[in-house]
Amino acid sequence: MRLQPAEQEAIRRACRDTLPAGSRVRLFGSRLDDTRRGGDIDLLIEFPQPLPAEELVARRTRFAARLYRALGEQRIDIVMTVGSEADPGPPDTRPVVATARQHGVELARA
Amino acid sequence: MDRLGIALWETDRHAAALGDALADWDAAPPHGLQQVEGNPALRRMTDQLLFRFLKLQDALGERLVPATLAVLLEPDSDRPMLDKLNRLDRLGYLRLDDWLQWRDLRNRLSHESPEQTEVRWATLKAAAQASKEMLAAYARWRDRLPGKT
Repeated sequence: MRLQPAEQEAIRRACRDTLPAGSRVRLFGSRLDDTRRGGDIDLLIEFPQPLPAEELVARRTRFAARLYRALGEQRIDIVMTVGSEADPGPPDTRPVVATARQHGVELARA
Repeated sequence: MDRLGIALWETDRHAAALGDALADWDAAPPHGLQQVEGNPALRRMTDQLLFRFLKLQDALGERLVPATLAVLLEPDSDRPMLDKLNRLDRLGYLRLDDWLQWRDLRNRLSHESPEQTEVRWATLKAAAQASKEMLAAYARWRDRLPGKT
């Protein structure tokens, strides 16, 4: 995984401070590949239950702003979905979600 | 015109145009993304709002931040942007948390997944709300400047 300890800690803290209890954050994409360099930070946020779109956007914005404050502004792509492996919730058929769930590494839990 | 004068001239233009776009938006707020995308006049109005939202952020960040630090005789040339913003937060010119949330909205506007219509619409509405907050913040910032023009 190509994330510095300080970056991982910033993600854990932002998750704890801005996301509802039971939420999880996974890293996926190019930052899991140790042979590559640079690249966006791709994160999947899994909310424990459905939220109105307005609240999803507000939560995502506060989460990202917390990361910008800790790490400086950088390309952080955030995909949001509901449920987890144990409680999948309504099906999210987007390929990016399936990939993130299959290959992603859990970084934080609120 | 000095550096601050140029920054204010540019920022004022975008603030005025953003204010006009918001007035149009508030006069007949759209009800959803499909309505906006299916109506050329609404689409143009929304595009104008988003364009000026981005341009006002650019003017504030690229012009007014350095010009304000310069007029306050603060060293700024080699500091990271986050340090400059932190300094202006401490001096009462902006709220860093608000700024970073506006930046995130800006970054999201071009990266929404096409299948998530409700999230795209909520992001657009959040940008309209953030535009109002940014205009109010700019008015306070402008008012606070020493020897403002």
